[in-house]
Amino acid sequence: MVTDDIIKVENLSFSFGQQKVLNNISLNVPKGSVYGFLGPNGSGKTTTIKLLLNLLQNHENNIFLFGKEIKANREDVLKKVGSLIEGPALYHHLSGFDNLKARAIILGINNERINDILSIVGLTDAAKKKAGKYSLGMKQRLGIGLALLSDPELLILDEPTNGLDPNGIIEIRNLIKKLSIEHQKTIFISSHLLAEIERIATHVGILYQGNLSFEGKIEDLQSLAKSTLCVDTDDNLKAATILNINYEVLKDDKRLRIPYESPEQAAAINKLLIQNDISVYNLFKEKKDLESLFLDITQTV
Amino acid sequence: MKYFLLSLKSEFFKSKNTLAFWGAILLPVILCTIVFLGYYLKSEAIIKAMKNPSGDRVWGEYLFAILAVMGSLILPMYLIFMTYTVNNLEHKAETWKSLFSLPVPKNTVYFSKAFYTLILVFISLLLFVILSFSYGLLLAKLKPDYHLMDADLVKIFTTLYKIYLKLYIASLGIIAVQFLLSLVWSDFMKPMGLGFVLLVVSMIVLRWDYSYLIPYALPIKAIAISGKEVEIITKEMWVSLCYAATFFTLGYFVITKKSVK
Repeated sequence: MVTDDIIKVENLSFSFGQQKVLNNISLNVPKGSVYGFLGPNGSGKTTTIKLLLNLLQNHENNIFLFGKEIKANREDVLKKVGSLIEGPALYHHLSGFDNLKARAIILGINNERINDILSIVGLTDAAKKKAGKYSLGMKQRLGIGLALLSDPELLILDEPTNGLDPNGIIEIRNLIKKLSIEHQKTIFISSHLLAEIERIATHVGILYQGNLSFEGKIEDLQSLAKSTLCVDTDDNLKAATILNINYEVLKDDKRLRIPYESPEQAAAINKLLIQNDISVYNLFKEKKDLESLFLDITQTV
Repeated sequence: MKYFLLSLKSEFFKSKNTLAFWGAILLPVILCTIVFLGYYLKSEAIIKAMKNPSGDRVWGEYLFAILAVMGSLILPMYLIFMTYTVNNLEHKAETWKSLFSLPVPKNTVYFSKAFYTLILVFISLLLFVILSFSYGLLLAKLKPDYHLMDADLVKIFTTLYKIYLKLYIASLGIIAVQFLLSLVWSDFMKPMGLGFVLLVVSMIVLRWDYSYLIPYALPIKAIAISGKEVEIITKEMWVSLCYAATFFTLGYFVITKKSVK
């Protein structure tokens, strides 16, 4: 199959016994993208990832990585993939260096590369410490280090920020940005945290109850969210009455909201209020956050 | 083949500082040292009890003291424990999924681990041969009253390694069965519990005509030498080899066809 997509999935369905987990999903992950694979817990993200890595038995030939069908080309394809699934899998009795070494031996990778990886994931100083004594953030970074060891073109990271504190989340976010920008990796990253994905992804796929609700560029997703003009005055009741003549006004406890159209519309509203002796405290454009958009999309399925 | 050897090397690397690896070394060291100390410290009582025995007889009694403890109970228990520990390394670290995401054939991951287990048991039994014979020579030097140097040392060593070789073959069946159990079940109780129950059952029915069909009874049958010459390939050994072939093959199908959850 000739395609520019690093990952291409066509109408993939999967069941655990009678329970249907994935329903006809299709994914297209372009080369060089950071693809955020979003969905609430239990939506089928990890199952999809395990199918991408040939860990779960798929009876159809509809998963292509690097243009090759995964089952028939398992080893060829996996040479170019590094993965972290459901948290870091580490040998706690071994040091960070030795965890990488145990993997490096199988892949025929030298110690120099191990040291490079430790430096990329910021664990050089903790290289000799036992992995069991690492913090969760360090474990995640070592897990990403293991995924990076063979210098793969594609990184598949399953919820890499799960369970981390804010500092840990920032560390992982920066690392992913670095890997994408400086090391030109294609990164497929799953998460249930939309705010996280919004900050790092170039492309997004949203999975809900085994269905793909949205797929596209992050801008496309953001443009789906209509902005509103927020108005706060000394007399919101009066302002609402005046504005209602020409505009659709939504009111919440604190302020008035009007569907945003243009800067001129904002200026006209401001002028209209002032002409009616209403003091305008605040007038600003608010973009609907992705969280509510996410809820809208998932609830319409 | 390249990946098999690299995976095997990785198995040894991973197991450093684990009980699975050190158990293979410590078991022969501890057991042989205890028996040696017994023969060294209680030499007079032993010689008196045996009524001035020949060197051949002392060698026989001394070596059998180690063999009897080993073959009847400790070896099967060690095999049950060791196969569990080798697989538990991956269960505990939840590394099966990352091992199977590597560009390495699935069967290579499985066979390198199985082969690693076989090597560990081999190392352990080889150490038993080397240590028990070496301690015997040391006893000969320290306690000349045993007359150990009067015996035919070549014959004793030949008999010794043949018995341990037999013990190794007799272990293969248990290793294969327990390896599969501990591969499938990640918790401690199922593979270990079932293994110990089967071991106890095999001890109870040891005198039954068909007890040689139970793999857990085979080590004790391997050391029950009746004739002067040690016959290595007996029907019990064939049973063990059949169990090993069957269960290792079964494990291969389980691991390569199974989804990694």
